[in-house]
Amino acid sequence: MISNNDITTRAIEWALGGLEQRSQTIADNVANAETPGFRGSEVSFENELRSALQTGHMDRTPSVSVAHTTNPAGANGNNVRLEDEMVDMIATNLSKSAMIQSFNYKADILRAAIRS
Amino acid sequence: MSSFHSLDIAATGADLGRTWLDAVAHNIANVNTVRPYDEEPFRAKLVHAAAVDGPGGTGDGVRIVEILEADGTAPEVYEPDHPFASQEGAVKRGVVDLVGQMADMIGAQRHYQANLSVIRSSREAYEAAMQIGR
Repeated sequence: MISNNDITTRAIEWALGGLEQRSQTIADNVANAETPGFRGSEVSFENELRSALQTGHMDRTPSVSVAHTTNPAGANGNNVRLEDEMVDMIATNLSKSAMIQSFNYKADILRAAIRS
Repeated sequence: MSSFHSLDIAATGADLGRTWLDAVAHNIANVNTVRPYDEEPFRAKLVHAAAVDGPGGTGDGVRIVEILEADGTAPEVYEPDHPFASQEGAVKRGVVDLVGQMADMIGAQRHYQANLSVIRSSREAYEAAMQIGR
């Protein structure tokens, strides 16, 4: 760990934690796409992360919330929209890659500083 | 559960899709099955699935609760020459809703494919995570 107080690292950790939970929720929604009466869930953490970044309180525990989606349910009471889940899955993966690249960029800068 | 949780969850969904497809195949294979008139007719197998609740509000996938059999009365046709016919010449056929089974087959296949997509995508994401710090 670089430093617990490093804002960039904390923000990336927070985002990766939220994105991983979002991946799991999408996997659960798709697994239950045909389960009668099942209501899909969605994960949000961006607003909390943004306000933490704005106020500079990055030392608190990352806040990630899970809530049921409000899509209307189909004939069997299931409200999962498979197409939306597939798109969200791709977007979540790309965000994860972006976070990992950001972290690696940060690590490269530190490595350069150590070498010089 | 492993640390690659999305994979485990998608696997439960793919497992349901495969079981469901197996049941549909069995039902369609038996759509013309005739049993002796005084015996129970063939009844279509129906998969009962339910969501699994997980910790922290995130679900843990889906599980197969039980395999049920279709209820309803068996359709009868008049075939007096049939060896399984009753005294009155009625033959009891299986309880299979063929149109419903064909629709279920598409649903099961789509469900299986969607979960395989999640498995593929999760694997790529976890592989990317292996690059942290490289």
